[in-house]
Amino acid sequence: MAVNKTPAECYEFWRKLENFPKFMKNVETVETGDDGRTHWKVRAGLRTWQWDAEITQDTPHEAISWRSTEGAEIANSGSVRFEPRLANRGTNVRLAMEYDPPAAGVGAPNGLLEMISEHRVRENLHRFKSVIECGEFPTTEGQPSGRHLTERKAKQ
Amino acid sequence: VRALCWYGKEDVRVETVPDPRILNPRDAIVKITSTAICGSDLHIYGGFIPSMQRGDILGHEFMGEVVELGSKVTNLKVGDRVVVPFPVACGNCFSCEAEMYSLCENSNPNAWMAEKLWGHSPAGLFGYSHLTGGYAGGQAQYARVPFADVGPIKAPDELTDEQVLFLSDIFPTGYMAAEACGIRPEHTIAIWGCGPVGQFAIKSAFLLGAGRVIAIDRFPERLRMARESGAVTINYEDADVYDSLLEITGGLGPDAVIDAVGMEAHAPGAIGAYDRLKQAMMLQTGRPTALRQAIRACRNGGTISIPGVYGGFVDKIPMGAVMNRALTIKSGQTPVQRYLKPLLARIVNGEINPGFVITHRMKLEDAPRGYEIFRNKQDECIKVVLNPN
Repeated sequence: MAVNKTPAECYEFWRKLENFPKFMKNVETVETGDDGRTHWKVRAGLRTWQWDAEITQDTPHEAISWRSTEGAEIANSGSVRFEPRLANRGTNVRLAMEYDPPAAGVGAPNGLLEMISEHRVRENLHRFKSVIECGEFPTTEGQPSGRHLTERKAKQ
Repeated sequence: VRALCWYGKEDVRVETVPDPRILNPRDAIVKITSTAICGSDLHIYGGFIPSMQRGDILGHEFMGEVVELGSKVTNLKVGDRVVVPFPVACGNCFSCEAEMYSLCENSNPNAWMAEKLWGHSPAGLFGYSHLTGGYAGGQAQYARVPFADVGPIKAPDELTDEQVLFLSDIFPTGYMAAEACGIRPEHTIAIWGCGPVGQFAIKSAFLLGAGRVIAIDRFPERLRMARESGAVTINYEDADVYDSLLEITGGLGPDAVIDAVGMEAHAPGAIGAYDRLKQAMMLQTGRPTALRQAIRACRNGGTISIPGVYGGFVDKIPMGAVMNRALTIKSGQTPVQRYLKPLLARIVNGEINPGFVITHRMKLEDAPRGYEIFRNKQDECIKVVLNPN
């Protein structure tokens, strides 16, 4: 994902894991504890999932990796790289995420499957771009429409 | 509030919908004083634009009074009278920094949908399907305007709504189409389609110094309006367009051609039937008759400028002519934000009065009738302006 900010700016924003709820769709809170570990609360499939995570790689202005610790409700890991674009025109942000949910097969809640889908990871990365470039990501949730009238009209 | 909602092919209704509200810090709410039906709205009306949902509010040409502002909009005040560009643009991404506002990388929340169909996503647009964001449009009493610190331009008090409303789309769109032709005084520019965008392309070609403009249509009132702007006209039902253009240009063809028709071109005869059938069978999403003619007629080394709207795929585009005769194709949704100041200056200077295209003024409540007569070209309809409040 090409982002119109420097690798340093992208790194600083991402490194504050508390920023994750601003662009990760399911993440409700990330809090950093005294031991440097982070505590995650994630909403997916009608319930909240929690886990602790630790930073496994931290190269300023270049890359960050993290993974959940033993006993996580959803074992997961992620890594992000910030590469300067040609002629320093911004940053290519590369994100990889891996989930090992307890019941990812048949019968897993839809919301959970959505959260761990490639589509959602891409969406979250696009939201990161929007939030860091614009201060917000675009939305139409909550705007008016005449959708609510369709049923009534159809029955007439 | 009252708003014009789309429910299906040729089914638009004015309904009461919830009030729009501020959803993001850079939003504004505008109380709409004037709004218009665009020729491109007719493609939605006709059911040719994919990813529409029942109940979507249409309209992307609108202006009005700012009534509410998000916390991060500091360049506008409540009470300001503004014209709103039809593309939504953040002003921060690579494309916006290069003034390609209609290609904003952040304003389409459904970018993934557009990426599937078109390879990459352009900007979000007001009231123009979910492929381009699904933003509620401006054929309504009120509308929410995202990135209000970037898009809207304040209208000078001394100018009426009708003088500035078309800065939202069709004036910049016609102007960009003419600008793309690289016009010089010795040039002849041929324009297919004398609807509102075609009319503005004619005026703009002359503003940019074209020696001659040839306008092509079949409706007498549209051809008359084109002649009033100084164009030579061809009624394609009375004369062969290719032969006529070569006759006028000494056999070379026009230096640049403009397709201001788009995906629903009207064509008589076998090729017209062929295209209508393929479109009905979803084998192509447009009928590019005007575009084919324009490419064939253009002089060697000339420019094909396409402001007309296409949604997906068309066929039998004569690429052999494009390649062998070194033609240049230019197109795009208009980055309106780039044109607001220079074109407002032309209005203020009296070089153009954009209100000349208006033939019908209606209340918002009568909008469904407006769509019908505009689509059917009844009552010599060229442009409908709606008053919602």
